[in-house]
Amino acid sequence: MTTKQYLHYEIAEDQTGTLFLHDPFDPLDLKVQSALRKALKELAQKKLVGLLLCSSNPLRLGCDTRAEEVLQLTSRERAQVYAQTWQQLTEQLHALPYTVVCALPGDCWGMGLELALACDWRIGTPTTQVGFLEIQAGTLPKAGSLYRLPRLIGLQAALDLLLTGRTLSGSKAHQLGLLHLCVPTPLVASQCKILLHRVNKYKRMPASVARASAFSMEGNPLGRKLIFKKTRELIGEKTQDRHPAAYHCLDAVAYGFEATVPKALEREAELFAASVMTREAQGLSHQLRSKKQLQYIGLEAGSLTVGLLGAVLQSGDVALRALEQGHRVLVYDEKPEAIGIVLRYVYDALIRKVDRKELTTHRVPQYMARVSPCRSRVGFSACDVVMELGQMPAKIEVAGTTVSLYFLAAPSSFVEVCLSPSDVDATPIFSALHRIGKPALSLACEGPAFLPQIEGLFFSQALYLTQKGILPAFIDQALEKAGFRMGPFRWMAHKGHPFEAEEDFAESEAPEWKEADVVNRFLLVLFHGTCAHIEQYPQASLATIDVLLVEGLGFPEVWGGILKYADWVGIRALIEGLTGLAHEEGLSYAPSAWLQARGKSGEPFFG
Amino acid sequence: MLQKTPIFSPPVAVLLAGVRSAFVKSFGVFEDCNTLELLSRTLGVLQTENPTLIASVRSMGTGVGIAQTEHPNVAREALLLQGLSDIHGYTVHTGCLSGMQVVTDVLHQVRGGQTGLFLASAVECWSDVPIVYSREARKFISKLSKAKSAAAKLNMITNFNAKAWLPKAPVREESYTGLTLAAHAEHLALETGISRVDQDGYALVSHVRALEAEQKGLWKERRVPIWPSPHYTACVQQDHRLQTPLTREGLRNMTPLVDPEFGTITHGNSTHPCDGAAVCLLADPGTALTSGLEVQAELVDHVYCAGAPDASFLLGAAPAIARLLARNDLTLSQIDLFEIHEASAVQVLATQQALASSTYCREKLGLSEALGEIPLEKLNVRGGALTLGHPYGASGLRMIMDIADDLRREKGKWGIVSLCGGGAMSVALLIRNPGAP
Repeated sequence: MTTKQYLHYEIAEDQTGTLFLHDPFDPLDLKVQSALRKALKELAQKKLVGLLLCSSNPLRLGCDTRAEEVLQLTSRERAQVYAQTWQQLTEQLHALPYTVVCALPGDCWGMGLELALACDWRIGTPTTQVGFLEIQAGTLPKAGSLYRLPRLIGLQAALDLLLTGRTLSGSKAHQLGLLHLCVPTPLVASQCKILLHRVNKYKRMPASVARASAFSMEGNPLGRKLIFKKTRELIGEKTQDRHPAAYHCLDAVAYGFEATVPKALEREAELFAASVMTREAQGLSHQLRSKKQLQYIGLEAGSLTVGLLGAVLQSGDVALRALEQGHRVLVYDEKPEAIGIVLRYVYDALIRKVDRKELTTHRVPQYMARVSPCRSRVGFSACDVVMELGQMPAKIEVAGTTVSLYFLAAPSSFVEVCLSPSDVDATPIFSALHRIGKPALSLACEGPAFLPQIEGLFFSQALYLTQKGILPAFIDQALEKAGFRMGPFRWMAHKGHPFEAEEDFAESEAPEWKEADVVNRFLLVLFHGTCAHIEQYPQASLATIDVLLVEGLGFPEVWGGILKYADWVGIRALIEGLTGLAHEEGLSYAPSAWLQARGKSGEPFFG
Repeated sequence: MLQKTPIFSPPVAVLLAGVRSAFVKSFGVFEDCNTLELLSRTLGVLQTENPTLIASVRSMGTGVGIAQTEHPNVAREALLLQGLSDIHGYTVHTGCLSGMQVVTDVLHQVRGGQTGLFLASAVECWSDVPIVYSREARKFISKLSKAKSAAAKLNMITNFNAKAWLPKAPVREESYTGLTLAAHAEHLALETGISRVDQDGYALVSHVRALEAEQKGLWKERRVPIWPSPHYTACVQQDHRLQTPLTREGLRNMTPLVDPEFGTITHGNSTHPCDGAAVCLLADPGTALTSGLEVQAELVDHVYCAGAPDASFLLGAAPAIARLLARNDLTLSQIDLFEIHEASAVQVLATQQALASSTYCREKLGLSEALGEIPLEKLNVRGGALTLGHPYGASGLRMIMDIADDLRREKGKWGIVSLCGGGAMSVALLIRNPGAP
């Protein structure tokens, strides 16, 4: 009757069944797959009024296994079999001869959402969060969602969700038609019961959305063709063709919209397998997994008072994130106009949220009232967290412990915490930073922070290349084409230190450098600098170094970080490159004995 | 006859802290703000600087001169905005006396045996006065929503007078007399014979005193910076009128407001409505001892008066002061400082004149002789509403904070704050310097 370990089902006296998926629900686990298959087979033979699918953990249905899928499905065949297995399971669920209702009171990602899509009814709450996040790991949904979703919420909305990987709140998902009902959390159970009992009346009732009507653009083949064409162009423009999974996703949706179910599912599985095997998926999954390993310990509920000393743009960012997490923020700066800039930053960000319909207008004054500009430092002693941001490095103080921290590049939410001495108990600091929405990265070793050093190398190399006659714009363009978030000169300008050339580049004779040469040079320099740090501080976390490079330096995320990149191209190839560079530019670039030994051993950085 | 000294000495309320926003002429830099924002921002500063004390406050009263339809109980809304959901909040509207009303409420509570911390606040936003539809239009909207059939609705719409949709401007005239405060001041000037020259002279003195106080930084601790919405970039820290000094010539050349030919009341010698907020932290003496804050002033006693809305409409301060002195067995000469609200120069001068007049004191107050003259050096020593402006509710709290600071600075013992307001009402509050012997 039950398979207790992974899932179980119960049948009530009123002939309604409930299938509980035990949290954590790992779709990669073969035992989970067989347990679900068995349970669905048994349930199909029972004469029930209806079935409720829910999780044993009210906070989430399904888990985020994007990175694990890429890293564990090591061959195309395995990936295809995995996708086909889950397609069969969702089809089995969909084919149950009675109404199936899915309750989503909390977060719903990955396979949890795919199973939910196969149900007839989905009931969420305003706090529910749903989304297809697979694209962020360079993969696709694989269990029939690429076929089902466009039919459920319309082609354009589905493409938007699938290609951006953004999450939706319960109310927004209800508006789109992804959820049939959005009720307050205490009412979910009773609402499910009501639905199960009205089986005859409402069975298989479609969502309240906008299905493709015959007159709408997506209702006719020409319109669809145009949508797919435009989306393809947009993907090319946004990703610079560095994101094959986006094209795979588009292909699967386009094919699935016209084809029969078996063919659509077959194509979906093929494309999923293809995307899993790409280098980009490997890089992105490596990043995701590395970020998951960050220390989020000692988290406690409740509101904090965050004091920000020094009103700079970072203060605005911290203030906004802290407000979003429900905390109160005090800001102090000697210059009142600087405080005004922080308030303005927060206000503008909130208004943008209102424009995006993520926030209602009446909430804006409520948020703004929780940022208290101060006329003195009086009151900061009562703050739970005090961040001193007007200087470099910035400082954070929690419960009497103070450490230095570096903010990573503007779009990033991370900070690098420098623990010195390394045995300092930074748990409250990590916890506080996480709670105010600024997750901390730390290499957990003595010495200076890693990022400022590597930034120094990056910018000095850029300046060095200009001395060789290469145009700054050319360097920026080469790196940005390769996937760097921003070229070094644009970045300097972005930080408020625009590069001023000492000579007129237009008249200088540009050497015959190709874009690839420039990119290679930077990669070698970054690799050299990173290895030097690892050699000096062997206890430094390699995964964190990769995250720091991506988040802080704008290293191409699809490459996963310099160390993941080294694993991909081979450490030996990079050592050869460094040896060549040492011949040209001097011995400072020569690979160290440690690096050569590592190259000889052939041991990758990530096993 | 005036009531004599109470038999026992009742407990007093004490002032522990107080801040106010800058007072800014309406439709100035606070033009996009509303009462809620001004109050919550000012309260926010006090809360930031005294987080644990504010969290343990029992209640907050807010005085608002002009009732707001958008934020009817602005006190509670401001508390909620600041995350102080455990504090009871109530709002009172008694015109210019609103701020004093919430302070005297605290005094009543302390006298009634209540202990703890209390917030008294006041706010006014003349830039955001509620403008309403006519009674006819309001009636139409209500009835239309109740009409049951489409035919009935159509019938109502076709019969409705389009003129009724014209909004009603806020009423500035007194409902009973139909006169504005400026017109009442003009009547008072006629009645008392106080000339334009005297009024302008007093206005200039008041203005110079305010400028001196500003230069000495006397408001530095009390006046908190506000970054008003929606731009948030400008930091408002200075009272509006202090930025444009008045001169004798300037005052002389101003056109009278009510009667351009023979009138005496001008923009220079009468106050102007403005936007501002003030918040004070009060307590009973026992709580004050454990709070860790210095007691800035003791609020000893108060008297409210109401008179007939005749020519002595703006002369309410005189009977209130007389009764307060009698109740506390004090003479006018024992009072070290007076803060008499400067609705207009003539009102202050007339109050001064009335208290020094044996006829007035005998006929109107039932005294055997004149109370005495308030010396100019004791009266409004750092200017007043003539220069700073008059955010109806918040003026009272501003005056309490000012006199508390001045008493401590000049080592005086007794001070009286007095305001008169719309409806011919007035109040006088007796304040003692805790540091005085």
